[in-house]
Amino acid sequence: MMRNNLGAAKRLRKELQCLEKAATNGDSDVDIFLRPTSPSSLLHWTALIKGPIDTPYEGGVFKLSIRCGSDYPLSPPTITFDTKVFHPNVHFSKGDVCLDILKKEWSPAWGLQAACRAVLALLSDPDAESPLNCDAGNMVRGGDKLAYWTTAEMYTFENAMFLGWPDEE
Amino acid sequence: MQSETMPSDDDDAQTQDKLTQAQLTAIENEIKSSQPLTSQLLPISALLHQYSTTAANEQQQSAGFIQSAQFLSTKYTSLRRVRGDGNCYYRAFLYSLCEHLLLRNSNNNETGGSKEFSRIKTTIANSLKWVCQFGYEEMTIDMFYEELVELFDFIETSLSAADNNDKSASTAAGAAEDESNRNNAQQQLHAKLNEENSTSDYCTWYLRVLTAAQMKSNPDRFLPFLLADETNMMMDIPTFCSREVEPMGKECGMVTVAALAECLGVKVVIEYMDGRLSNNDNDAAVGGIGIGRSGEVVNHVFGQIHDENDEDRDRICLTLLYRPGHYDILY
Repeated sequence: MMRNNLGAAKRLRKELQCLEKAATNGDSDVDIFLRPTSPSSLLHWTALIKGPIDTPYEGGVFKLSIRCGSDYPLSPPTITFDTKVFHPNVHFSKGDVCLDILKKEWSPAWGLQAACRAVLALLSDPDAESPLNCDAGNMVRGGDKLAYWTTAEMYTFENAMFLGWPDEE
Repeated sequence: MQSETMPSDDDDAQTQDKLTQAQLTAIENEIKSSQPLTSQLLPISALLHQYSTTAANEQQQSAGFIQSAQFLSTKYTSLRRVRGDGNCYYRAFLYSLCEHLLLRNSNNNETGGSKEFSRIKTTIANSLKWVCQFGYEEMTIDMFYEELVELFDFIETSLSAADNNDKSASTAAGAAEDESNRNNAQQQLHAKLNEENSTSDYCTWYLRVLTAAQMKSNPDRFLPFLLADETNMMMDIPTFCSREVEPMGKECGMVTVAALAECLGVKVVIEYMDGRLSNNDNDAAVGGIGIGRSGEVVNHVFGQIHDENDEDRDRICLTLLYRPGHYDILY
């Protein structure tokens, strides 16, 4: 019987085991490093993601903060960027992410790693129709690729070049 | 150069987004606090009462509903409401299925019961490997699968307790005890399926996975029913499933109703009550889905098997009430 947040803990423990097993076998996702923020709680995780190539985020490492409620995985985790990023669907000062699979289209079939992969896909493929950062949204929507690219790249250089990639041994 | 003035109107966008989100959350909380996942059994008159007490200016609109409610009152005795959170079809299906299995089996007169229980239990027990063939990862779905298996174990335990009792039920005292055991089991089931963030939600989502897998397993059967989305492009089945079936809170349409019924080999009768008036017999000829003769409510049956060999199977038949956007259970 699933009592309240036991379900969340059970599922998150499984996700952690999977990540650790992949690390041991050397087949971790090379673009995502994902672990609980502290050993004391499985409800709060930190992820590092590598800016995708051929985007203005290339070369950057971005830190994400992930919080799960006790009704995870029935409800989606909340993901925010801790690293400042200039992107139409990420709030510039607060780091909130606007992504359908983290809202109405979330399904328990997704896990935290899949959610991080979706954030990476969003970096490659911004959706200017539902902007949280209107400046970035207007640039993309208005077709001013160059302005968007150079601004985003500048913020990548300014904010996302300081985090080293963890050694998974 | 950490520009804090950079965002011009995105704080507005943020505020708006937050507002809608806050409103949605408020509505969800309101529903949560005012509606149980599944209500107690209500007399069918509750249905009529709901429409006959509406304000005078809405009377006109509810006339069709009153007519339908009157018709249904002659056909059914009771109603069980299901929370209106977008999961009502799956939740109603789950509750009604469990209740049927529990009550049917403990009733000695219906001999097909235990055979039907084992058939469905086996289908469910074998379903984890089956759904994994359609792209679901065992790691993410096994908890949900296990919850449904445990629920069936619970029903089986209740049934075997009733069975043992049957052997000594020749006396009046034995029969009374049998009756009280059955009530007890039913109450336990009700409590189990009303716990928040627990059995009902977990099993409800697993039914969504079964529905999606059923559609993916037989695309020729289901693809023609998928409506075109806003771009006027046919959605393929995996896209449809990931948008409309797999997320919690997405309502169930005709295709998905059929898929779930066929997946478990269960018959589902749905009474469609859409509020349209029918004043004379001619309406029936031109009428759409909800219009029958003189206020009759039209029902549709899903999950009918055309296999001749299955004819004699004493199949479970669930009866649900549909009103626009919502399902409840009928008795």
